[in-house]
Amino acid sequence: MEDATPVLELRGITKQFPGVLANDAIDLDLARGEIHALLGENGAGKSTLMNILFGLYKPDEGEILLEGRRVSFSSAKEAIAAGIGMVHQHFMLIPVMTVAENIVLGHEPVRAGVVLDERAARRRVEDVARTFKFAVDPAARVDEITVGQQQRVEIMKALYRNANILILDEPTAVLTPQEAFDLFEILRTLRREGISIIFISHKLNEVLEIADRITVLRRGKVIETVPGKGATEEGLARAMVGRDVLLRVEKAPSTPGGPLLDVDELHVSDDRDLETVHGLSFEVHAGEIVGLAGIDGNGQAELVEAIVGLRQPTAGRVVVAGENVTRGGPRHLIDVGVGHIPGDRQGAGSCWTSASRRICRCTRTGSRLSLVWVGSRHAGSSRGRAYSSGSTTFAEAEPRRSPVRCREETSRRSSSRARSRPSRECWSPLSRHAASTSERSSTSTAGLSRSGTSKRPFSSCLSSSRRSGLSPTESSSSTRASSSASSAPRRVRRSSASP
Amino acid sequence: MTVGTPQPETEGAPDQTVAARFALWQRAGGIATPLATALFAFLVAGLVVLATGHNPLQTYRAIFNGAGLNWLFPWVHGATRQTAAFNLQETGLLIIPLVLTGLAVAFAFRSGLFNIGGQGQYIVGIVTGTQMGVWFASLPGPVHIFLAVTAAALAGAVWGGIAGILRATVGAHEVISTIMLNWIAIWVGSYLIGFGGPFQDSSQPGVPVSREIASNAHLPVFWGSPLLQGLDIGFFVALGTLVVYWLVIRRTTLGFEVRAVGYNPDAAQNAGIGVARNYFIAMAISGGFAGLAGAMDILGWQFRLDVTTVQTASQVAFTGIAVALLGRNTAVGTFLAAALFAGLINGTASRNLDPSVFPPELAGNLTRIIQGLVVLFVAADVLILYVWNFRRKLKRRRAAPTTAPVAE
Repeated sequence: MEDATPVLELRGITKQFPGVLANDAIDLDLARGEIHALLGENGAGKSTLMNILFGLYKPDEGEILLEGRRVSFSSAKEAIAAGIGMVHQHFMLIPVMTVAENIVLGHEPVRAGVVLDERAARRRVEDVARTFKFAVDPAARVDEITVGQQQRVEIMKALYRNANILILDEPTAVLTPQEAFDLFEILRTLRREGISIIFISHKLNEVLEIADRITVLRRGKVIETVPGKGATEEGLARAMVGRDVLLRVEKAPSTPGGPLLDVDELHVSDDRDLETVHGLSFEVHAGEIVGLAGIDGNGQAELVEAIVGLRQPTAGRVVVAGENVTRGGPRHLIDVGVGHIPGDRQGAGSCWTSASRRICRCTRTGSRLSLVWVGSRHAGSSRGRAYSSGSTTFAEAEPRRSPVRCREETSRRSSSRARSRPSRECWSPLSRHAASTSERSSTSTAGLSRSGTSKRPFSSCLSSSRRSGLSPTESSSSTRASSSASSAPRRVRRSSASP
Repeated sequence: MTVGTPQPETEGAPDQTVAARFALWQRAGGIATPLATALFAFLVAGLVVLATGHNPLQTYRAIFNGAGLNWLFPWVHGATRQTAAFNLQETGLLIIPLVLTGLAVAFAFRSGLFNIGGQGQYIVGIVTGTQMGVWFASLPGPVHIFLAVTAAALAGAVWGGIAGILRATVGAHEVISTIMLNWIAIWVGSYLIGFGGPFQDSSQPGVPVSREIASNAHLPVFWGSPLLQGLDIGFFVALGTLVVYWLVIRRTTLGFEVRAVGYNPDAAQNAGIGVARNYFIAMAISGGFAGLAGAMDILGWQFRLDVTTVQTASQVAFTGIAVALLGRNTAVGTFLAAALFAGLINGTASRNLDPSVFPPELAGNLTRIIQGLVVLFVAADVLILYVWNFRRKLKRRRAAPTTAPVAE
């Protein structure tokens, strides 16, 4: 496997953006048939580096060597031609076209000069599928296949263009655990075929599972490059963050106070008016951290937006400290002491509306840390529950320890804010990494109906395996749902009694 | 169908139904929506006719006859049949530019651009076609026609291409730039054939018209009398262009890439397709279609261009937008929509509509009302979807209070 010259070598890549040195003299080499993980927090410079490699940015300094030859790309097209394929976190697919059409797009086989040769396109796609053992129907429409399959289409797109270097940008962020497992199988197959893979992630366990070598970036610098074998989560985390990280928070059980946030039979629809939150009810008590688990696009975003007033729920109520704030709007929510750290750094974080500006004033964190944090002096208290949204079902467990891993920095900031305001809540979707390291990883995938990330009907969303995987949590969820239904009138009375 | 009742406990079920309905709606919308749109427009227009104190059914029959469609009935004989033939030929003459300007809009739509510049592209086409028809009078007929038609299409392509280049390079929105280009075309055209203009007919300096095109540049008439504006072979040019449009969109890599850009420019760019290049090409081809429409009109039956045509009659190109919208940017749909609008315009023309049924001075307005309604309802398929969703929400809201006491 080991070749004398690396397939790809980056030397001293430096990229300066206004106010930030995104890449600082980065060296990186990639061997043939290697899975090389690029690990780092958000903002560490991973994406910038890959965009330079893919020809989307020009480096200020440094050089790119491909098979020992110096190259410089000024567009994605040139990078593709040189054998580099990139799978973005958000897929670049055309939903209404077929798998085959999407794969050949831009490099269509032609007959008689101008005529699109659909049969040849399908044949070539089938060739790629056979070579790399992909199970995808070339004639299926992209909006009718699962997200995992869409990702495979993206990979096939790169392979169809004869890529021998594949860049995967956070490939598991949108996948179920089963799909991630399948993806890793595919990556191992590709490795056997001699394809080199750069695997961008910040999930330690995945990196340790798949990577041959791991390069850790922090604040634009390469901290270390270590072999995958022998690396430990603790060591990598320390390299990522720059100091020791407590992977397990050790503290006494908290003593939560009364309910502060009460979400009652909340129904929320997404932008296409399809319901993504189906009558979810839960309470968050003072001094309590509640985790919200689930794959991206299962209604977490809509749920959070509904709670913080950015989206009108279609039914149900949100009550904060006894006050019904369901249709209060973001400003009102801020005034009653609800803070919101958006999960999306580029969207809500970029401060377009005055409402979100208000919100992001208190949310300068790029981390996708999973934290439903209800303010009080008991910062980082430890009664934990995990919900999965996207359907009514959710499972509940009360472990002794918090399921949420906090970096010290964040918890410190939270607690200082908590002191300044008596009641505040910060919320962002629980990343699966956090969920899977918690003691109840099994609860994280209950009742998924994924629709937000890809535009396709619900009916096709649930793979059979996922359906069958549901059964254990379904039973627990139905009991929980019935108990919540019986408790609903009590809550209604209480809030109507409050002034 | 129990969509409205919230049943959170039955996992996922309501959503599947909603999604299934949504998918069905979209699929059915391909054919059903344009049909419903047209029918609805006629229905509402009928109410308008009723409000003016006339009989809508009689009026529609008069429009039908005014468009010459009664020619299709074998039992129509004699002078009536003769008139019907004339009317139908005129309708056919109107179908030609409507198909072509409709395609000018449809092709741009496919790449995600909204070409409002059909009028300007039509004008540069018709001016170029006229002058090419006036010049080169010694050329043999087919060559001359080919030359004039090609020049007109190219002129239209250049005019559309300008908007495409502006969009591709500096990001100037094509809606704005094409509207501006329309005005430039109108006034440049008015200058060229207006009083003292370089292309004005010098033999009659008091009339703002161009010289008449050479008789060998006239398009051959295949139905009716060449002197009485019979239907010329431009009709087949229009039909042929429809086929070409379908082939390009469906069968060529060009059409494939144009569609890809239209669906998702980011994905197309990422796949290595030149989005800017495609914008330019799509606008140029669109402009070419509109320029062709101008050539067909001038070489087919107008033969000389007057300022009124440039300034007002060129608005036929705007109807092309409605044609493309109603025809859903498909070849067949564009033809059917063009035929509908041609029939309407011709059927309500004051010289064709039976004055005893509907006052001729109001007739033209009726066309515009129906046209406007069609465009309104075409735009309204979003509205219809909205209403449909709203109904769903209402149902849910109505259901919500009833569930609360049950829980109590």
